[in-house]
Amino acid sequence: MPRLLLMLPTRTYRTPSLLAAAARCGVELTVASEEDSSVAHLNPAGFLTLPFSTPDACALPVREFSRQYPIDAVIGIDDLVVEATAVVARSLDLPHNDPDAVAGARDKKRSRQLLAAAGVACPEFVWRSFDEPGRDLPPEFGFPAVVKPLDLSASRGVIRVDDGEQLTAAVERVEAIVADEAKYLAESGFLVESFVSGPEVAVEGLLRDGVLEVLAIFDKPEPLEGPYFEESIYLTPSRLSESQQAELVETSAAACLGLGLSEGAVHIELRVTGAGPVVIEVNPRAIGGLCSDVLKFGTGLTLEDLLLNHALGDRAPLPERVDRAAGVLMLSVGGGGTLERVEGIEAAEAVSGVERVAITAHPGQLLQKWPEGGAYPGFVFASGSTVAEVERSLNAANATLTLIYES
Amino acid sequence: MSDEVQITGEPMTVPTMCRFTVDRPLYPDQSFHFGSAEAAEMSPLASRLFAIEGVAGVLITDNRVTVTKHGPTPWPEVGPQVGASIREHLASGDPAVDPSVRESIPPVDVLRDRIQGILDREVNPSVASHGGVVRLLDVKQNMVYVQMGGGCQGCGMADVTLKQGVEIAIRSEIPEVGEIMDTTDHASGNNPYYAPSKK
Repeated sequence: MPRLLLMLPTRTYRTPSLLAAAARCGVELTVASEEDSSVAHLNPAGFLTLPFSTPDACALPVREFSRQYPIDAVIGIDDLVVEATAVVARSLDLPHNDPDAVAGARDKKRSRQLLAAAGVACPEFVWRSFDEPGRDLPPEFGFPAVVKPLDLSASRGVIRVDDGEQLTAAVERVEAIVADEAKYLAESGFLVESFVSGPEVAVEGLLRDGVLEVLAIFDKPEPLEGPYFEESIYLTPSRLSESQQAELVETSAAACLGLGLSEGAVHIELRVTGAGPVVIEVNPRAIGGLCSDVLKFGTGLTLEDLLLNHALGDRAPLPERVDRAAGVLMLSVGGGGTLERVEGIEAAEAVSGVERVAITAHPGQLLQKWPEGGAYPGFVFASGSTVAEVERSLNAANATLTLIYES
Repeated sequence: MSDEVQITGEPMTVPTMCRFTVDRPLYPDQSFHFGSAEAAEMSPLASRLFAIEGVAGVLITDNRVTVTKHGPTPWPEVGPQVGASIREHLASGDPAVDPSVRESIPPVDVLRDRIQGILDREVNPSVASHGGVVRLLDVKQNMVYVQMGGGCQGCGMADVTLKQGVEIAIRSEIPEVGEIMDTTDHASGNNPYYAPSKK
């Protein structure tokens, strides 16, 4: 039975879905995390502790481990582990992304440079240091613009600004946000980039030997016009025209190629403009949070099934997404605070078309508003015969849910 | 009852599982789970089912058979093969599960004591370092029901702790144990050791 090394950050939402997929694949499993497991002594072949934040340091312990427990496949699909996964897979001579390409994709400044060099449409940008005197000068490309840290996820610290005064305030705010993030290097600076107006979409794909296979295109029907970018609804299939979708696929493939990505999950965010798609981000990972639950393929395979099978060397034609509209709603944190409880869950579950309501925040958890925050309190999943129907179901469910914060 | 065996296939929430209900008893009032072809050697019915490509697990319960499969072959292709195997088994007159398998399962009281011993000795002193605890709620036949508390309740790594640690420890010492069910309401955990949060 092949052994799969699952690179799993301790705070990921994906643990149950990945473990279930691994069980279905019938593999021996080793779980690597950045913290020691309290029960590692019960199953020495089943656990490994790796310093994910220093990817190069992960290769040696895995090679040593693999001498005793040979590893046949490696998978890591969360932001925090994708660089380490590439390094480890390369060290074991398994299919992998170039670690430099992964690092480049994750670094918003480097990815902008690479995309621009490859001729892929992306926002104009300028990099600035927090320490430089002209850090809040208006950018040459003017306003509206977006201030963006280089290495935070879930749109944390991303702020739209419409004038110089807002830019000054936003830079100060972003500086405070990154100062609060232990692993963020302040000298990394930040980007100021042009704000691209237009509907936002996400392309979920799987790279196989450098070829992008598109698994789904999600519309984000709620306008993401700022000033902050907390997300809400994802719907698939896309309502865009066939030609627009073809442009999205073509642009996404060019972006992956430009960044040098070649293997595994990829989640690309783009804006649709009159001049064609503009790439906002290329993430060498799967869709975040619990959102992957919305995708089912063939006879009911999950996204995690496909990604694990890919890691295990399966190159058979990918099954089609099931022919049914589906969507997910990420619950808004609203005013934020210390969560006491969520009301209305049963009513939300009773809404026609709603399949599941998953509250992922726990009582007592501090939930911050964007741009300081980056964690959604929960997710609602729905399906239906049309995306319009799904959208109605998600909005109706959302209307029943209330987050009660401690006073 | 007609001589023709009627079998109804019913897809389950978990897409890799399908339940087949037969119009006559297969293993009356009893249940047994087989997680591999090797484990199924003492079950003529499960052995037939494991001969089907992709079958990874078989649960035989009274007049129902729940099959877990992996691989790309869709249920519409696997289902008829399962039905044919069940009909072939019924025609053979063999028992679904050899009686010696059931006899090999220790009594519930013994199972309960041994599992509690493993939790007390090997699991709980360790998970206590994360403020957690794993409680044995019940044992029914060879089904085990546990509940995680403290830092384990709602923890992002709870599933890993259970499946990679606790289950391995219990099965290695008591291989006769069947399914191990986590009955924890993880959503209500108010102090998870690792709170899921980021993409």
